[in-house]
Amino acid sequence: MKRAFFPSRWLLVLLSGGVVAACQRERIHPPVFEGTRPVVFAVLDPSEPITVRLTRTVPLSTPDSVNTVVANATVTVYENGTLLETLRFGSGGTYQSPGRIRPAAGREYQVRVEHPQVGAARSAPTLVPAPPLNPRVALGQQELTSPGLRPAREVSFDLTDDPAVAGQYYALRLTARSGSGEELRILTWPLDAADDTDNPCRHFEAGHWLLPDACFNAGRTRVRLGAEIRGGTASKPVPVRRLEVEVLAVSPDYYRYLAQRTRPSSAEQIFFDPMPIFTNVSGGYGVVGAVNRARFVLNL
Amino acid sequence: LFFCLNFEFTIAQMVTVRGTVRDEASGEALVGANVVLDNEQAVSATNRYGFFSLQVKRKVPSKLTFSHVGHESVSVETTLRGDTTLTVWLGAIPLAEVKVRAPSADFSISTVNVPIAQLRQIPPLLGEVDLLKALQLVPGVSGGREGTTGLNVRGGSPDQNLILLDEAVVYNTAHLFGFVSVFNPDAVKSMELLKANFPARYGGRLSSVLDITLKEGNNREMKGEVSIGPISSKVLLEGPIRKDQTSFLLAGRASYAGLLLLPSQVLFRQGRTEQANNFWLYDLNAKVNHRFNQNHQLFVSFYTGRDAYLAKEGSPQDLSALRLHWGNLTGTARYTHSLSPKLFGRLALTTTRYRYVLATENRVSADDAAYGLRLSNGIRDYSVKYQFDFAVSPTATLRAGLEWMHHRYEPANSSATSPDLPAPRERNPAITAIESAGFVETDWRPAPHVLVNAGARLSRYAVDGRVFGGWEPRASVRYTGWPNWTVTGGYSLMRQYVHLLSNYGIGLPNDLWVPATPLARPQLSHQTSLGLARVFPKTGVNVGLEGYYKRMERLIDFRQGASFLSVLDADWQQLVAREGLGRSYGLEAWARKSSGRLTGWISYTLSWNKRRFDEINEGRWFWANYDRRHNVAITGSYRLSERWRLAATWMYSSGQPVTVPTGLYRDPSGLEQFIYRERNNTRFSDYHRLDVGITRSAQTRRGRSTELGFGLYNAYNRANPFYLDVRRRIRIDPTAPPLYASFEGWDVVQRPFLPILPYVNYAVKF
Repeated sequence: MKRAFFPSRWLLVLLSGGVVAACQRERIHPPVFEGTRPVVFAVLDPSEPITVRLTRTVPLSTPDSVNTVVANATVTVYENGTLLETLRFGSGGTYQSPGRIRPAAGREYQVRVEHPQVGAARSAPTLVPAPPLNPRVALGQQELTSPGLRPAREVSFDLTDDPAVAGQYYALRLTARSGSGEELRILTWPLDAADDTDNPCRHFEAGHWLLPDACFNAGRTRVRLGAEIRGGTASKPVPVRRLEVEVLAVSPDYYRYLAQRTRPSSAEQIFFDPMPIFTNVSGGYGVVGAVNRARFVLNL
Repeated sequence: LFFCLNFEFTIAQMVTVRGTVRDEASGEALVGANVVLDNEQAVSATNRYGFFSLQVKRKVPSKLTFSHVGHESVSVETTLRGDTTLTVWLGAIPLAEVKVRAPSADFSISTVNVPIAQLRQIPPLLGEVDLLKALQLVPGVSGGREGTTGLNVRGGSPDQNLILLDEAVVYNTAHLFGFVSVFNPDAVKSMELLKANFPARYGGRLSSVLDITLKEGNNREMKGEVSIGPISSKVLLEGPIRKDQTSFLLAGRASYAGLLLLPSQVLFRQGRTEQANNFWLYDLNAKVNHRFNQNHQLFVSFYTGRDAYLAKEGSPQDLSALRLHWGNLTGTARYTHSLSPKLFGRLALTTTRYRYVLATENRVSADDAAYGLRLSNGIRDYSVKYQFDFAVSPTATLRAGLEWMHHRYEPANSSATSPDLPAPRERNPAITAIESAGFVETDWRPAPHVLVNAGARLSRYAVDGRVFGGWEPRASVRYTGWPNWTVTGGYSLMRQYVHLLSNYGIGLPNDLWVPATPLARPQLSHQTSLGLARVFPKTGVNVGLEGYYKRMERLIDFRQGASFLSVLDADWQQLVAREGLGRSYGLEAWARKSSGRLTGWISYTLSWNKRRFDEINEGRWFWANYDRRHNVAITGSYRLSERWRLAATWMYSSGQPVTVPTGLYRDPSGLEQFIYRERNNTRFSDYHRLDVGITRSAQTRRGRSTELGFGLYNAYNRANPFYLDVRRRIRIDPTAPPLYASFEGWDVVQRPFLPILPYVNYAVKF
């Protein structure tokens, strides 16, 4: 039996529903904010007085203009378990040592903070590392070509691990400057091994080349980096006149923080499971780390 | 002694009827055809090769009835004096007129056996009928993300499904980034999904077995089918090489997205656009089937398929390019033989190859050499299997077999394509492993209404100088003592010697297949299920309810922050959290109608699915990525007239778990750091969608049947979530100076992917 059928009314209803449903394109999840917590950052460096930066966590919806610096908190520093000093809130929104006390290598420091609204937190005890042992830095004479096809030179680092100290971590940092002293953005890359995430000896993160204890095997190690010697843009190149090089001995916690600080870009989020950023602050977030640095200047 | 003598005497009074049941028009062996002796005194069903074996009393008049869905039943009255071999031909009748009473033994929630013709009536995505998408509508099975073909069975991940195409393992079932499966529905003869109560002959995966058999090819006359859809066009050709003896099947499918994207390629070469894309896919099924005689048969089956994607940016001189291609290749040669009326054997040789390649290419100027990276992942398997079925007695069948499989895994092979860059170290060298197994199982009827399937599998896996494996006991019981009711229950222990590393498990090529190793040990699961089913013969409706509990051990997952991109330069074993536990349990309900003008089903699943890893979520249990508390699917096809058929599917599932930040802080450099406390701490909004389609069947003047289909995917344009985006909230103040904008914090946004999509497709059979 033949039966004529044309579902025009049904299609009309469906299409109308489609128009209505199309109005809601995206939905926003209201994340549950767990409440304000203190965020403590401090890098203890024997060459500088102790300074602690105290801010607070905020909900995601907080505008950038909101100041998160926490003033009027009690911030104390303990050295080898004994109260060393209570810091004073000062300029730049940081808490500074009133006695301009500098941390000493080989000693352990802990930062404790307390604020009536933000809460209390304390860092894990952090040992200030000894300075890098006899570091040597040299600039190669031969001109290279960087992966960005710019002229470059080799910078080599000779580092010695102190066999008496277990778990030493290092970082290298290069800053290029023009003749006028302006900082230039340059590319650095490893010449002797691949830069990749499971090669801990040639791993670049947060502006540092990170080198954990495993790279040295309690011996002497040479790290060879390429460094561009031309900054600026292609149309307006600026030659590099000076390379400022820092060799840092880094506390393990600070090393771990540096190594995972970078967040995936928005486009990459689809491929990544979220990664909590390392913290050694209980009751809050942030990191209290320690470095001990040696500085070199290479003139080109 | 008395028992043995009595048993021998009973056997001596019986003769064996064996043979095959075939479709009259095409000569195809029919799988699952029922063979009933004298009002169910004895019941048998054809196996996947169309073979049956039944024992009847010697010199006693007997009536044998053969039936199969979609075919006329045939009855044979005979008095047998000795063992007999039969070939039974059943004539097809139009599906719409089928009124077959489905025996209670046929319906179970654990075993999904829906006729391909019924699955094909479900409204497709962009006109591309997809069998795996249709399976996502049955209880206990859910898909991954919007539109994709991944199967998550009873809380398992997509790698935990043993997918067999003519006995060869298929690893990646995704075409078109997972939106279409690699199985060409025109070439598929039957498909069976097992979710629990696994017989011992199956092994190697934890959660399901999907057994797909390709058509043998019509061995009586030449037939063909051509169809055109928005994504691809298909062609199928089958026919006899020698009538009733040798047949062939050839089915191919190719997309023409590449043609549509051709203008962008030309414009890019001319420098008139800075972006160009290209995509194409194809697949090919080929099969040759030869029957030497009633007792010996050989087929050779082959599948190959490939997807390729290219994205270019910049200009031909200053170029950034991304290339992705992936594909499967399988081959099977199977020889089946009947050694005696009671003994049926088969020997299968299979090979499988899966491979994907991701490559980047960068060139700064036309004079410079390009540089880039290349990452590939692949598996190559060879296997030999031998199995025999032995009819021990009228109430017992014994099956036993041996399997041997050689695996070669390339977990993640990366290389630099520029001489200027230092080559990455070989972090993920190829791994070779040998998997072997032996099994024994029996189908035994200790009482007329009780069927027991019990057996054990002993599997062994050798890799990196270590050997893993052990016993895998399996048992299930089916009781049909109450008219039209079936009670089933069972237990299975399963072992799996391969892992899938996936951020989302959506079948995209960002999934990495890796072997079980001493560090990432083989997976293990225990599953217990209990179910009840009822058949309503007058209406042709089957209703079932089943509960299950599954515990999984030694799971792996990416560590927090790691992804498939990380394996470019890292040993994958260092990127994973190991020794994970999984727990899933739930209740499934299914009502299915498979005859009359209206066919279809309603399914509902209530389930819980959790994971625990020491290195993730601080060791606490969290909801698995595939956890969906409620899943509902309603699908139906209604024959409006002889020519018109209307089909609709509505599906609903609870939101998928997802991890969102709960707050943020700024580090000293001003960079916002998100705070993540729990993994999968919230959920996407609920998923629901309506698809509708209408099909017009007709005959051309030359007698060829045609089908014109059109419809809508996501008919009410629901913005279902596909992925999560954490983005800045920007406010532009109209009163402020030009280009002034302020950042008003961050929004967590779920992004949809597929809006309402119309489709038209056309098929002609000749």
